[in-house]
Amino acid sequence: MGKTEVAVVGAGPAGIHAAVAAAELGVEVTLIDSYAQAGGQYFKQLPGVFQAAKGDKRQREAQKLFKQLQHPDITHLPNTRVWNIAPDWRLDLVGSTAPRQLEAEAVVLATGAYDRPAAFPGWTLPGVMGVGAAQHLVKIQRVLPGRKILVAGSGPLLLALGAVLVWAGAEVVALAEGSRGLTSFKPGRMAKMWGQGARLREGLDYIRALRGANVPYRRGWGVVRALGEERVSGAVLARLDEEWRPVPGSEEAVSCDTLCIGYGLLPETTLGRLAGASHVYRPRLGGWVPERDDRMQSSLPGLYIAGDGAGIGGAAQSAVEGRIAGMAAGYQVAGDYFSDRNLKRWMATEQKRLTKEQGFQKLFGELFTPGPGLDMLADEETIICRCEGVRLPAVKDAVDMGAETLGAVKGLTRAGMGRCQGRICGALLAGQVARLSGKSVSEVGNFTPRPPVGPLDIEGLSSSEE
Amino acid sequence: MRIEKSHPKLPAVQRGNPVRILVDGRLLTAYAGESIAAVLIAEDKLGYRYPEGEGQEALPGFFCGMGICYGCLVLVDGRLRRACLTAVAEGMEVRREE
Repeated sequence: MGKTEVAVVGAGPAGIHAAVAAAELGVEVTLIDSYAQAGGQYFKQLPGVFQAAKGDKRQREAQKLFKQLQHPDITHLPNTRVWNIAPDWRLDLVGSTAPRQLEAEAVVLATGAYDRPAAFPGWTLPGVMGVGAAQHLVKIQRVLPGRKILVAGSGPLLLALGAVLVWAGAEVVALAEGSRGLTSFKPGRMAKMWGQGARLREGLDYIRALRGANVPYRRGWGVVRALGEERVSGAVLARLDEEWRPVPGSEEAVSCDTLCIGYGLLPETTLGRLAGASHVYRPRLGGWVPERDDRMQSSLPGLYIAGDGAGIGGAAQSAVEGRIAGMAAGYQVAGDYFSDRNLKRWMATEQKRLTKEQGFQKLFGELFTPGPGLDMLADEETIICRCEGVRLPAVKDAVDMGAETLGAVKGLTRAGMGRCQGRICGALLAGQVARLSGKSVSEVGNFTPRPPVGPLDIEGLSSSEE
Repeated sequence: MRIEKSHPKLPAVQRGNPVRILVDGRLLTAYAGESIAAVLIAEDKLGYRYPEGEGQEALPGFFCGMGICYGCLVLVDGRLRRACLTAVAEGMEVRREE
């Protein structure tokens, strides 16, 4: 059994900043991360043995941040997964260099987010992958996911992927952005862009790359079907109305060998829910998110939650939330040594930054949250739960039998019982059950997480992936 | 397809040393640091899933690319691993079907 004062789970922007903030208070920190290298999905780091003449801007920014992680009070446990969490606080770990259990006085969860998928006919064909998967392949592995690529979904990550694919030499067929928000830009929204210069410059870089390669950016369009037998060979695009319902007669077939989809991000909330922290449904923040006070503390004392895993806000907001959570957790542990006034002063500065970022977060949610039409694309053949191969008719049958919650539908169909533990199908299934039962997604609820988080038989308890 | 060209926004990298791995009995050259998934995709073997057959369920295949969906499970020297998170190593044996 290992012991630490503050355990931080996840080494993306929120987790790194939380770890550093707590360590700077003189508190012993253990930073647990499931990947080989710190940085998470934002600071995509090349494999250690790859050498770059010079990294890109973001990778250089990451290197600076990683130096701060070299703090003597921070222990970094890479390739380590938390598979259980118990109050006051005990974490069960699996990883080659990790203790099997870790006791901590406070825990900061900074588990990030992943692509929201959509269940349309053909989405389970090989060659259809998440926007994040394609980014990972190109930026970390330096492999193109395909040669002729269609990117579809919603949000600025589509632009980022499209640009990176162009830089990498792929043919990008089109970007289909379901939202039309950007065309109805209201002046009031501009105020929220103030002070977001770095973000805007990044966006302009992407747009320039896409224009230079003549990639059509089709706003208010979406994929309604992926085509192909053994693997994807094309897709049908359609114009979407305000509610994201395909407009009949607007369909167009395009050919591609790869289809990258991402409809915004879903917060990864499993550990917080398993611990018993209270969560609420906030679609514009990505779905189910924890309730927190202004110190990022969840409904459970000593459990702090920061970053995209607590509501999608992006890397800059995650960094601020991480610092607040790290300070609060560190202060909780080392409280005797610091006056409350000091904490308040630190907090005031960070809170100001947070307010600015939340303005952007709100705008982002207004612009890019998918409409209900996205849940209307599946047909009788469409798989909803990939792991268990559960198709839409089985979900319909379950609802007809009276199942109105995710838990009940899971019991009847096995959807959500597979290896991903409902991470991929949860949001899809909730949308379908809500649509079919007439309930709200909030009423349909979420899967109840149970340990082990992630299948334990995959890595075993002693060996690990590299 | 491995990215060889360099762009100011995506500067070229030097991969690790060549390593040889066996994929379903076929010898492939990969580079240290690469994930099994990246190698399979570079070799245009993207559609890797266990075939649906007697007593076998089909795996959903590579999807999230970051260790969440478990769709890209392969047997690595006899043990189930996520191809997207598992780095190649000299002499590694990867099987996509039993």
